[in-house]
Parts: sequence; structure tokens; C-alpha cells
Amino acid sequence: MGKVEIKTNAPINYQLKTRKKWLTPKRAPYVFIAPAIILMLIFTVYPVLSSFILSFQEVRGIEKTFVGFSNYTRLFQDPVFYKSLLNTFQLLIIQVPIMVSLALLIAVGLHSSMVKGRTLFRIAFFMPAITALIAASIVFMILLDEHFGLVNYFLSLFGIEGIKWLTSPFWAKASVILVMTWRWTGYNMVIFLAGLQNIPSDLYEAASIDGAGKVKQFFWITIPQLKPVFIFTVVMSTIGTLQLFDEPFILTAGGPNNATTTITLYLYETGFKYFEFGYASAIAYVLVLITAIISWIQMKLVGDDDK
Amino acid sequence: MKKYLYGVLILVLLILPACSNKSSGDEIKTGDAKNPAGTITVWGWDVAAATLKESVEIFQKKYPDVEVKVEDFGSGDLYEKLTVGLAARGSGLPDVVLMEDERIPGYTHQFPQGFLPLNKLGYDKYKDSFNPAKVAAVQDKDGNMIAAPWDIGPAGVFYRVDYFEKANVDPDAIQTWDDYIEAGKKIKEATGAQLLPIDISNYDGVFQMMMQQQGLSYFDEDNKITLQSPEATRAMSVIKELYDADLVFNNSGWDGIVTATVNGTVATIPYGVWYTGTIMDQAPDLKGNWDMFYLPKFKESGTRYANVGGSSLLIPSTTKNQSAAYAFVEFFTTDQESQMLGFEKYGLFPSLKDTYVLPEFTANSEYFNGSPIFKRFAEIVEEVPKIHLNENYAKASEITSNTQSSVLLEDKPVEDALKDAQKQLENEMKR
Repeated sequence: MGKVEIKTNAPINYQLKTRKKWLTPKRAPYVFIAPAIILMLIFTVYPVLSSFILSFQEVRGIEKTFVGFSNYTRLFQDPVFYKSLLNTFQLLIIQVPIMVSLALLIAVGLHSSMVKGRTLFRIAFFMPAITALIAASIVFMILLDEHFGLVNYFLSLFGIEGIKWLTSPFWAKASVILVMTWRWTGYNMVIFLAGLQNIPSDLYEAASIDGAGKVKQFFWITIPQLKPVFIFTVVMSTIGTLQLFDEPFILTAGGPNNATTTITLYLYETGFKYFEFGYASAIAYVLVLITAIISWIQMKLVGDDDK
Repeated sequence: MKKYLYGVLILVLLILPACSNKSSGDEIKTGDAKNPAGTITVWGWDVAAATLKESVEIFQKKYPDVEVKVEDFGSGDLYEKLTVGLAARGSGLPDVVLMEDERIPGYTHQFPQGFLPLNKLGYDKYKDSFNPAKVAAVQDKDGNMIAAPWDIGPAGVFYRVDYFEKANVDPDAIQTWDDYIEAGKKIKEATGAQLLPIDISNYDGVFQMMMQQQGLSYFDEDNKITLQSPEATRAMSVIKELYDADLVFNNSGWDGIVTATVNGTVATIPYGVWYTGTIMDQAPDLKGNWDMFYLPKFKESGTRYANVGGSSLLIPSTTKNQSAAYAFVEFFTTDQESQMLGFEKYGLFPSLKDTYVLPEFTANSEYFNGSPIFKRFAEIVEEVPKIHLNENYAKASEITSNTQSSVLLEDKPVEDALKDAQKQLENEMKR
């Protein structure tokens, strides 16, 4: 003890210096984010890079051979790929607008003070988004069964007979849209609700003093004010739809005759059913490219005049 | 600093995958070929897994030092795990794995070194104990026995005795597919039931049976695609005729076909012998109301016999306990008692020929209208035409199911649809 007291400041300074080498205030943040970054590098960046390399290879068993661009040229001659692309875009163009407008309507409804039990409704609408998708899809599969399903039973009470929900090309697509809408409307609604709460109420007050009715207020205040929220929901939904997998996988397995095969479903089948991992990786990269382009266009279209 | 960090991270990235290859090899207790010992893992699904599990006790009477762990997955999950494991050079794979016969060519093509050739371990001597079509199905291109034959699925048409009586139709008079269609119309009129279930967009089982009756699969012996052959046109046309006469019940998946069986929605079900287990299990009330006739034939040519399904046991070559794995596979597939266990309890029809003389096979079945149904199936085992399959089976089956749905649901003419299917499959196979 005594010895320590006698010591000068010099060694302490020295100790600080060595420590400083490793953990300066400047470097500390890097150390803190390191675990997350390392995990991301291992589980995201590494697979992304290695599947990029894979997309130029043909894999047979554990042997890989470089084949140049042949996976990509094959892709552009593959009718099933085009069909899955078309399906995905049909779902996208029909489903996203329906869902976003529904979400907006519900959000505006639940935002107004006239509705009672708002919290309950909010929870009810949001529930599907946190339900396990596989479980939900199986329930829908049973509900929509052509012969024994509850939906067709109810319809038969009104004289509508035997809609082939999952077995006709048209209705199978409609069913997928139905399930997607059921699942994601509530999620988007919550985002819209948050957006609505950020609109200053004096805008509405000023408008009503000027004599604008509720409808006019909705179109001239609510919608323009929600623009950033719109961009967010539309872009996120678009990306989600482009990566659509679970619903068609469980509901229809891509059938009938590939009517509900989406790009990711085709990717999965190519890799895991037909062992063509190189080709599957090529599909993945084309999908990434398409997603990037579309998101960019959407941001440009909607967001430009803000700048 | 940044550069340094990136350097470390990239290094980590490069080292990590390299590490994973060398999984720490614990010393496992194994015996030798004469006295196998240690623990082995077996993958299977459903009733087959249950049979494997129950047979372990019999196995251990002869090999008391071997512990067998049977793991039960759904077949889809099993194949995925197997594919991933093989692609990862065997990490996480079991010592024995169950596989449907039509999947074998695909796996041996993708992973030529993936499984042990059983003939080199001494399985050759059993070649004549099994039915020859089955033996052909478990061989690879070089004639190695890659799998040990287990069950088979000789096909027949299960039918509702009461419906046939009500419609005054004599099942013995149904000789050709035309007869079958005519009978179907009568039965529908009398009972309202549809003739047969087909999962139109997902399963081409009926088409496959019809092809095999005529001695073909999607491929002939020279690996040529047969989808534009007269046999294929005939088969698809009959299916179309059945559908146009509103005799086809479009069931969705396995649950759909079972529900239709139990509810009496269909009057007949053309399927493999193993479906008897499901019928008896799911529809105990219909005892005495089911029976079987052989598949109708095409009036032009062919037989009345085909096979649906069947599976075999394989040993991944990465097994750490080869002697015990082989001992189990050899014992299980050639032991009458184990084979009969699966047959009696779950309807898994052995390909081991000397079981067919056992009383359980020859007896009359009370459930099936008092007829010796299993004996009748056993009688046709040798008659089933041998067909040739290859690694493109899964793709071919998918394309044919799609063709089936475009013909039935989208009204595409049979010839055009088959022509397109042939072209698509040719394109896929070029690679």
C-alpha cells in the first residue's frame, strides 16, 4: 500500500497510454458494433457474395465448374421463369394498390375520434401480421378447399356453387391475393396511423374555417401529408411481393400449371428440388436487380418534387 | 484503422468456412464387419419410420451391440436435409436413409460418391431374393446396387362394392379403359359418386400408371423422352375423356384423397397396394365395401399391371460406422419378420419374394369383401413391366402434372400439350 502512495504519476500515465492504443473514444463505437457487423458479414455478406459466384457455376453434387454466363442466358430462354415473372407482376400490380388503399381507409377510420373501441380494432387488424404464416396459410387452405371448405359452403347458401379457389388458374391467383391482403393490410395500417398522428391538427382547423368538408380535407390535406408514408409502404410492399414465397408455397405449391409460381418459389424449386444451385443463384441475382430497379423508379416517381 | 478492421473481418470470413469442413472427429465406438457395434442413426418418415423403429428390437437380438436411433421427418423435409447434407460433404447426415425409388437416380446422378455401393459390401447375394423390377430400380448406371430394396406398390383399382352393386356394374367385366369409363357413367347416374380422384395440378400418378402398363416411363430404355409417343397420347386422352365425362374428382393433395375415400365421394381409386393400409385405417366403417380389380388395359396394347411407389434404404458414404449401418440394412431388408411387421401393421408391401407364401399374404381379407387381396397383388408382382427412370424424374413429373392441368383445366388439345411438354423437357435435359 505504502509503496503505491509513494509512486509518482508517471507509471499511471504510462498505463493510460497503452490502454489508449486499443480503446480510444474514436474506436470504441467500432468495438461496440463489431458483434453485429461480424454476424452480418458471416450470415449475410458472405452468402450474398458466394451465391454471386455460384451464379456463374454449374453445381453437380459437390463439384462446381465455371460456366460463365450460361446460367443467365438460360434464364432468358426459360418459359417458366417468364411465367413466374409475369405472375409476380400480376400479383404486384393488383395486390399492392388494393392493400395500400384498404390500409389507408382503415387507418383514417380508426384515427377519427368517432369510432369506439379503437384499440381493439387496431389489435384485431394487426394480428394477422404477427401470425405464423405457415399456420395461417394452412388454415386458409382448409377454408378455401373446393369441395369441403367453409368458404364454399357459405357461398353455396347464397346459391354460388363450387368456386375452384385453389385449382383454377384464375381463382388460385385471387386466393393468393386474398391471403396476402389479409396478412399485410393491418401492418400497413399501423404505419399509416403513425403517419396520421404526425399531421398537425391546425391544418384541419384552418381548412374547416375556410369551409372545406371532410372529403376535401382528406384529399387535400391527409393524402399529401402522408406522402412519405405512402412511399415507404408502397416500396416495402413491392419488395415483399417480389419476394413472395410462403403463401403460394403452402396454398397451391405454384399450381395449377404454374399459375401461382412466383420468382422465389421457382428459385426454391430449382435449387432444392432439381439440385441446380447455380441456376437458382442466377435467378436470385436477376430478382435482386429487378427489385432494385423498381424501388428506384418508385422513389423517383413519388419523391422527386420534394427535393 | 478502418482498413485494418476490414482486413480482419475478411480474414475471419475466409477462415470460417474452411474450419467448418473439418468437424472434430470424436472417436466413436465401432465394431468390425463380423461384430458391428456402436450407434447408428436412421432417417425415415411416417409408417416406414414406425416400422423401422419397431424392427430395431428384432435386429438387436442378432446384433446386441448396435444401438439404432430412428428419426422421423416428413419426406419433403428429409429430402431437403439430405440434399443440403450431401452438398455440405456429409455433415449432419445419418448412417442409413430411406428413399423413394424414383428419387434414387436423381441423387446418384447429383452425388455419384454420395452413397455406398451395397454390392461391394456383399449385398449381391440377395439379388435373386427380390423381384427383378425392384432390383433394377435400386441400381445405378454402372449396375451397382446403391440401395437395399424394401417395399413396392403393385397397383390396382380399389372399388366400392356397394356402389357397383347399386349401379349394377360387374367389376370383372371391366377389361379396358373404355369399359371403365362406361362403368363410371353408370355408377355416377345411380349413386352420384364420381369415378376416381386425380389431383390434377399436382400429381400425375394415373398417367404414370398408364404409361407403365404400356412398358414406359417418361423415358424409354435409351433415355429418349416418351411424352409424344402414341402410348402417352393414349394415356392423356383417356384422362381427358374421364374428365370430360365429369368422372374425375379433383382432390387437393393427400388429405383430399383420404377425405374422398372416407366420404364416399369416389367409387374407385387406382393406386398402389399400400393404400389398403390407409383405407382400413381411415374408413373402418366401410368394412366389406371395398375390393380391388386390376388396372383396365388399353385395347391397343399393354398389360393390366403397374407399380406406384416403393422405397429402399441407402447408406450415405460419409457414415462413420459402415459395418453397423450395413448390418442393419442387410438384416432389415432380408428378414421376414421385420418385413411382415411393416406389411401387417402398415400395409408396406415387401419386395422380398419369400414372404409371399406366408399365411398373412394368402389369407382372405375380411375388410376387402372376403377376397385374398394381398395374394392377388403378390401374383402380379412379377408381371409388372420393367421401366427405365433417370435423374430427370422430378422435372418430368412436374412438367407432366402441368400438362395434365393445361389439358383438363385450360382445354388445351392433348397433342399440342404433350408436344410442348416434350419440348420443354428436352430443353431441360440438354443441360
